[in-house]
Amino acid sequence: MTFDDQTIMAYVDGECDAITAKRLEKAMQSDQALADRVASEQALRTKLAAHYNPVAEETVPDHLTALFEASASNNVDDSFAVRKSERQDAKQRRAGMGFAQWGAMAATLAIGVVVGQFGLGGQNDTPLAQDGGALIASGPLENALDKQLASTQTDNDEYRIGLTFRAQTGNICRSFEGEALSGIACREGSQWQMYNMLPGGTSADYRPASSGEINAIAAEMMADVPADADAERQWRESGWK
Amino acid sequence: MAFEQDLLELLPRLRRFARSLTRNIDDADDLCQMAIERGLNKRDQWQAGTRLDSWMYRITRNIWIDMVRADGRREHVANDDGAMENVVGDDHRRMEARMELTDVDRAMDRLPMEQREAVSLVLVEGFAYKEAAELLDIPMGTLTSRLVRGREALQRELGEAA
Repeated sequence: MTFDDQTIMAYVDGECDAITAKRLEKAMQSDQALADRVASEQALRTKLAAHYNPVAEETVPDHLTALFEASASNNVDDSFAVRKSERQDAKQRRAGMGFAQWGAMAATLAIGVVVGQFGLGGQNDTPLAQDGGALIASGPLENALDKQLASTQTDNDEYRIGLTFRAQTGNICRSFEGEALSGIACREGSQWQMYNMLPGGTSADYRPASSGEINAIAAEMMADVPADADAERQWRESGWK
Repeated sequence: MAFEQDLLELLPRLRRFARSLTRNIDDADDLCQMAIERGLNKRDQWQAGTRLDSWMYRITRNIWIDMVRADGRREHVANDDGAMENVVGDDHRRMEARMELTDVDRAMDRLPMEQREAVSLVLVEGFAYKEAAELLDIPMGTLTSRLVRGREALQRELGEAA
């Protein structure tokens, strides 16, 4: 796989999507030239930072701060320290809720929406069923996860398979997108257990999940890079073990 | 007042930004001074709840462009096809002699303005692509192509040493 300058740059600048970042990191392990290109872009950032950051550490010259003095002396504001600490508190509160918690909240919300929408009948035409407390794929979704290959699927398929990958747990997982339901399902025995679900495009009250969101969650789960077309086919032949 | 306190807090970053645009300490502080004055004068135009830093960076950058054009030190012909700006020779050489320029200063100074401001906002000031593009009023694609070209030029100048 080759990576253009723009992709390498985006990676170094932290602007790369999670899947591309994974692929690039994987490729760097065996492609020294690529690793060197990335290292040299990182070195450029470091060099610029080392050169300019000390400016921000310097004491600001008096003639600049003096511009403020007239107005500041007319409007003494002792609430600044209070506001600053409030801002920091708010920042910490935001930081305190990590990816997993937000993810869990989003998933819970989505499960409520989705289950409400489809019911849990396990009939042939519903995509979800319940088995011993676990939410599993059923009907058309199960069929897609079992059989469909990303490399051969068509626009007419009810569900589109996105990424197929081995999770850090060792299970094979697949991301999918449908009109009303998108998410990630992981193989447990002979079933596809829902790992993550987000409403698809037809739910009016909830913003549909973007493939970017699902890919970001998938990237967190992956043990390695996503399967290519050959690996996907082999995994299917071996029953997604 | 809150506005002034927040602006005061921004000063170290604004000075860094100004330095990366102008490379020259005196010019950078002149630029900062003008930006602060304009910011204080136009404070009524700043919308509370929006980012003060982006607003001030935009002001700083606009003044810098005016400065460069007004003092005629450069003929600005840079464009997105990668044409380099012409540096008017004598003045430039005189300045180089007076200042003790580092290789980074020199390499940044040789970048066309469009590339320099993009590099400065993203690589030095740490703005996200989207934020930098909004600040400069350009599409994301334009920003990233300027970044690619600016980086290439910097790598040519600083590459092995970087």
